[in-house]
Amino acid sequence: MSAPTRLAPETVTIRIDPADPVFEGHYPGFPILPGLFLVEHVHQAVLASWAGRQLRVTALEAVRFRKPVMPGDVVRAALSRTSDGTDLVCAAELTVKGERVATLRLRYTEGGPR
Amino acid sequence: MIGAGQIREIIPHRYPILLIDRVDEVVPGQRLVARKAITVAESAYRDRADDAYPLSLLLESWAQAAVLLACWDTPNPDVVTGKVELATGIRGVRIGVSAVPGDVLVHEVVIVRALDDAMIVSGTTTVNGESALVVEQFSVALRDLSVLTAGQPS
Repeated sequence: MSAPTRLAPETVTIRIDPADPVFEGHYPGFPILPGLFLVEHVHQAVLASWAGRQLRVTALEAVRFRKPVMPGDVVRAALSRTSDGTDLVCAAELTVKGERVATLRLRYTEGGPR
Repeated sequence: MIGAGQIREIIPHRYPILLIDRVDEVVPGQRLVARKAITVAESAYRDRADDAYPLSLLLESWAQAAVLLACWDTPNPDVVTGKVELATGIRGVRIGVSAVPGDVLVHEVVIVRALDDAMIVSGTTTVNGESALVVEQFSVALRDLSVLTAGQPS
């Protein structure tokens, strides 16, 4: 295992499409984004930024949801990634209009799906 | 056995994001076992090249089992007239085998601590007896809609 390496930070923009059918059922009369969908957006951004490497997500170490995310919101996700040779840890801070809505930390290992 | 009709009387989630098919066991205030079958007919698979069930839906399905248990004795089927369940935090989630269409997710949830309007739940998901998810701590809060709509354009 090599010493941890801090990789270049990256910011991605996630547009919460009001036409996403999820809002029909979450919830009728009061559409809000299931918070766990933010985890998926960050996960996809990590996979995209590491295209060509076989990353498998092994842990969602911590998530804190601070404010609900609404249809039409534009979420900025600031990703900071650390690699120790085998594992990649991605911490993300998510904001809408400068206000923090969530923070989370995902862990990955190299290798194909189990 | 408690099916989808009764599940809809307890939690407010609806198609296409009601991700619990059936409750197999429940001890209100303590623990619950529920299941969800995955099929390729789900919208998540419309344009998906990867067979693995998306992480967000796996977590959301487990979390719905947690909310079912949390709301068992005080059903909350409509957020407009009731309260909104909001996940406030999750810690220590280990992700194991992937589930694919044809698999059944078996969720077990246990209440760790119950407060007035919040609950801490832990649990697991298995697929064919193998671990897909271990959740150390999931916290969920019940909030009045008015708290959320304050400051939002109506």
